[in-house]
Amino acid sequence: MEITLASTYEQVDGAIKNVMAYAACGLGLSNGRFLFELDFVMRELLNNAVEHGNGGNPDKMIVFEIKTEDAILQVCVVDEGACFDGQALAKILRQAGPVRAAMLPEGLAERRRGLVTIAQLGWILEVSPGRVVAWRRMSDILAEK
Amino acid sequence: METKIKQGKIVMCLKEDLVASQVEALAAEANLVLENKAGTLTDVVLDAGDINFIDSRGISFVVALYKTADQAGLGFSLTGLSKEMFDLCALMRLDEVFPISQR
Repeated sequence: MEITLASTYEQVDGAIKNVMAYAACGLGLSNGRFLFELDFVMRELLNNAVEHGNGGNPDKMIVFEIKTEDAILQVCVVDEGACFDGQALAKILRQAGPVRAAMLPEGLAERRRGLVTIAQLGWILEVSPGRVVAWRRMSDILAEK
Repeated sequence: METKIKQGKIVMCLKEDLVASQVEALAAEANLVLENKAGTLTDVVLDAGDINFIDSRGISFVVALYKTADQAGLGFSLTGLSKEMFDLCALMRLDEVFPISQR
């Protein structure tokens, strides 16, 4: 399933509503806990594309795709910006490591929680300029039931 | 958002999911309420009993509201969370900053 949307949070709400219906009916995902997690992951990537990738410019577009392939559930967000640079992403993902104490300095941080949380939830993030992919193995998702 | 005040405790009841599209308006509303009631309150309770989802921008709103309350010398708690929202907040270690509870 692929959706193209303008860079507004209201458009994100509408896209998420359609994708969640597709995830439940089209992909057969029924685990309420995982659907919550999927909602969080998709919103985070889309909100980042709105705010950071496209700088809140509603004239810039975002392309979102969700699919299952080779037993992997993958979501992909493409925006018109440069996205994260490699060093910034590496820093973010280091914070998501197995030692939860790494989050301590962020305990009162108002921002910059999203990607760390996605990684902590077990998703793999792949970032290139203007494009973010997050994926999980279907076997891991089904094992969470 | 609906607000109720009883014996110095203000309860802010969320009526829409706490997501990016709602946060700006909610923050303005919450800050206005707190400004208007300054000096009369002891605690702020954010009640999520009627909502089912929170994203990272929503979490940012909660943390900012906590900071505002704390700086004013007020107690703060987040209540009525679904199991999924509670676990997400715990993953972000909000439970180590202020009390959170499930519905």
